[in-house]
Amino acid sequence: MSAKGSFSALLLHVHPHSIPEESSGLRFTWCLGGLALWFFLIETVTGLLLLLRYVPTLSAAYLSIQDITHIAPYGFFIRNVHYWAGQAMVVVVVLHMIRVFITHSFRSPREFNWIIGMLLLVFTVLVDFTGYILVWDDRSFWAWTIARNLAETIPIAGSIFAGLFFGPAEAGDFNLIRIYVWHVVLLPGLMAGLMAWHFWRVRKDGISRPL
Amino acid sequence: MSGTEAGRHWLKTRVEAFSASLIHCSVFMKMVSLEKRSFLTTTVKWILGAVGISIAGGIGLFASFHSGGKKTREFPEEMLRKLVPDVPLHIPEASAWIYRKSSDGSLVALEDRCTHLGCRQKWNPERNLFECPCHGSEFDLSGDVKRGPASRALPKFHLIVENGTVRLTGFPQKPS
Repeated sequence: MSAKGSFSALLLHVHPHSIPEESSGLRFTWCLGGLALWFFLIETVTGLLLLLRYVPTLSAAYLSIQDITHIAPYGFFIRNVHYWAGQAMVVVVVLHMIRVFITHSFRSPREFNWIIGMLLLVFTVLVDFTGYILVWDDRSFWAWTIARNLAETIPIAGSIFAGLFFGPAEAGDFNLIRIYVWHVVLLPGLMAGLMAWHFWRVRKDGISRPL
Repeated sequence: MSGTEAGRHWLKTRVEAFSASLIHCSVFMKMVSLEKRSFLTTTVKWILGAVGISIAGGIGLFASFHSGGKKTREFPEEMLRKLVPDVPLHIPEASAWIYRKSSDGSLVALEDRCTHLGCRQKWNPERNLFECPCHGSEFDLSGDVKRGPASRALPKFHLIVENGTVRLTGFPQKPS
């Protein structure tokens, strides 16, 4: 098989062999899950570009973001697309959950996929939050401080959990690097895996209508 | 023939004449077959290719730490000798107003563009205010807004003095 032929075959394999006719049109429900995936892909591409010029240390983080915004060619555009697509993704994921709830799509046989979706919602909010921290301006610093103090109030495992997610108690480079690793590697990696699982379950359980 | 139809006919003949001239252009003759469909697909491919190359070029500029033709904000250190305390000096090559604080002798550099719509504000020594000639915004010596329509303070630069050159970097000090 030629290279072109095998690529087409891969694309065809990704698509379902059939979809409900009504889901092929534009509907008031907007295919919100698909939109969320689309925003995730935009975040991945723009995020990879931002990685090239962002420095995750306390002294350089804010400076490098000012550099991206004011000096780097097209930097303000890439940063703004990353920011706004991130905000839109949170909104779209919440609306997607509301749609699934209203149309009773969480009921059997899709109850397990609802749980995966809930996890994806949590991870979406977390990845949004960690991105907010990475700017490391005053708002980021206080958001980090407040969130870490909140995490410490969890009974028994509070200090371990706070250390695990936010890094050591005093603000230092390790905090920002920990948040950076969550934002850039761990959370998107977990989300990509869960999303694959989510979509596979949609295929297995049958697509819920309206999309 | 109604007016709309006449217009359409005129447009059609224009478009056909334009396409024909493109197809008969010698450069295109070499690149594409004269069949309409293959001409169109080839054109679309070339356009997509050009867009792709432009995007790749933009990403390359972003990733290569190339300044993108923006001037670096630098000026010779000797300029600092001209400074009178608390009187700002305009440095056009750095797009900034700089002054030395009389209180502690430290240097302050403010961007010379009004935060409203980007006109260059001027220092008025009689009123001790920066005045924007476009819409009348006013800022005090520390860059704070004294009169609208601007709502944000003038951004401050970080000054680095090295080998007889003063360099202004980024906006590390957030406008207060």
